[in-house]
Amino acid sequence: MEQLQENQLPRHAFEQLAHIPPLPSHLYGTIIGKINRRRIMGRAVFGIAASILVAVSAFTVTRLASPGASYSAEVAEELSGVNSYINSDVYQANSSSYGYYDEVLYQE
Amino acid sequence: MVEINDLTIHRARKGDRAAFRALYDFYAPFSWKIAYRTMHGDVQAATEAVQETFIRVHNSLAKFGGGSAFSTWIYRITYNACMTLLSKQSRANEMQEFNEDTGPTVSSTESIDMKEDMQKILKGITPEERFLLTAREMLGFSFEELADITGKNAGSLRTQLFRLKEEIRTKFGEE
Repeated sequence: MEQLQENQLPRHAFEQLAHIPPLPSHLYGTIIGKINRRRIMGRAVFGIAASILVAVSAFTVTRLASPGASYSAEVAEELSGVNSYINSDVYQANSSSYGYYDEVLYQE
Repeated sequence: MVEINDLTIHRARKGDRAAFRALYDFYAPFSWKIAYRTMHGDVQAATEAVQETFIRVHNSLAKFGGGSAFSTWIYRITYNACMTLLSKQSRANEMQEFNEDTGPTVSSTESIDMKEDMQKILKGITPEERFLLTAREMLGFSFEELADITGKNAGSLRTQLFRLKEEIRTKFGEE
C-alpha cells in the first residue's frame, strides 16, 4: 500500500472549510413532527390495508358460497317439518304449556 | 470519535423521546457539518439531509447491531442521505445544467483569489471528496472510520485525500 505522509491544509483553506453556520435550532421539532406524521400515515395505511383485506376476504367468501346450491331431499323435508312446526298453533300451545309447567315445578 | 453512553442508546431504542433528543443533541452538530459541506453549502439541502438522517436513525435504531461505532453508523446514514439527495438533485437539474452557464471551473494552474478560493475549490471537487475533506480535516475521522462510512478502501481514501490536499496547497500557494 502506498505510504503517504499526512500533509496539512493551508491555514486559510482550513479556516474557510471550518466556516459552517450553526445547526438550525428548529430542526429537532421538524424531525419529530415528520416522525409523528410518518407514524400516523403508516398506521392509516395499515388500517386501510387491513380493511381492504377484510372486505376482499368477505366478498370472496360470499362469492365462493354457491348461490344456487340445494339441500338434499332428506334435509329439505326435515327443514320443512321444523318450519311447519314453528309456525303452527301446536308450537304456540306447547310453549305456553312448558312455561306453565316450569312455573309450577319451580314454585314447588 | 467520542461516543454517547450505551444507556442513552438503549433508552432511545426503547422509544424514550428524551434519550432520542440526547442522541440528536450529541450527534446532530457533526452530522450537520458533514451534510453542509457535502451538499456544498446549500443550507436547505443540508437541513433536509440531517432531517432524513435522524428520521432513519429513529426508525432503524432497533436494527443497529453494534457492528460498528454508533457515530460511524449515524455518519454513514448522513453520508448516504447526502448522496441520495445529490442524486435526486442531479436528476432534477440535468436538463437545466445543459442550458445554463455555470461559470468557469477552476483548473489546477489557475490562480485564485484568496477570499473565494476555497468555495471554488469545493465547487470543483466531487461530493465524496467534500465529505472526505470535512470528515477527516474538520471532524478528525480516522481512515478506517471513513472506509466504514463510504464503503471504500482506507488506503485509497488516504491517497485520494493526499492528492486533494496537494491540489489545494498548489492552488493556495505554499505558506
